[in-house]
Amino acid sequence: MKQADVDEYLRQALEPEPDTARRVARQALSSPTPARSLSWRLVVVPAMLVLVAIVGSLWWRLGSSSSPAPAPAVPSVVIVERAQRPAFEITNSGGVVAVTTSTGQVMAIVSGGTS
Amino acid sequence: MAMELEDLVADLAPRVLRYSRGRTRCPHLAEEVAQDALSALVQRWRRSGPPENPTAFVFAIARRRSARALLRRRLMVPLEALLDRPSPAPDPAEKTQRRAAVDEALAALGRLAARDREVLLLVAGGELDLGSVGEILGISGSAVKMRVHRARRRLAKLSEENHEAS
Repeated sequence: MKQADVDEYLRQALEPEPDTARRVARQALSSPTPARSLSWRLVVVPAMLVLVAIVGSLWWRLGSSSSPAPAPAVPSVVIVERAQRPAFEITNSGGVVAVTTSTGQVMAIVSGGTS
Repeated sequence: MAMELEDLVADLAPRVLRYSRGRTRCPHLAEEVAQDALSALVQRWRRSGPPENPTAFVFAIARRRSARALLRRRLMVPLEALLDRPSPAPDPAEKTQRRAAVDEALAALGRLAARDREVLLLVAGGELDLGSVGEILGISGSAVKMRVHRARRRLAKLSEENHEAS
């Protein structure tokens, strides 16, 4: 078979019955035209957004309710007042160094040292 | 406009049937595919006017539906065997009526590469011009031309081999 005859050979081999072609054409022409409907995107996209909002809200609520109870309030800043007078006093009398606290208690005595 | 659509559908029906018969190798599936593709054209035409290229529109749908029908058949065959139900294709009565030429042509087509078979069916069976085939397959006109030439050469060679063997 020549290459030029290939198309004709296939066409003849695959040729449908005339009745079949007429029936298919007739049925296609009589197929009902569906009413114009909303595009699926107009329905699906808002529905997805609503779904995401609901799931997000639920997740947020569940997350906040399951978190541990807050710790008791602790002041974040502690103000320490500077003492008006030194808490202890160091005296040196004749090479004897004494540390005396503000309540009059002698904390330590160092003597005989060279420095 | 209505007459134009009717004439177009009447012209396209045998062409789509030839194409889908070559693709599906089953007269029942071919009729189903052609029916779907032409119905889609009619609905589109009546709803929002004719498509830019009605022929390419119909064949693009027929191509997709054929692939889907073949896949469905492949999936259903094991299930039907499991349920011990006869597969709708091939129909024994249809098989007896089938001409030898159809069998031979389908066998030769089956031995072609899928790309070559597709382009040859669109050009020979569907009588589409190269531009429309390129539009459907998403390739350039020159690529279509090259594929058609290669497919014709291979089919002619296969046919000669069959004749020599017989």
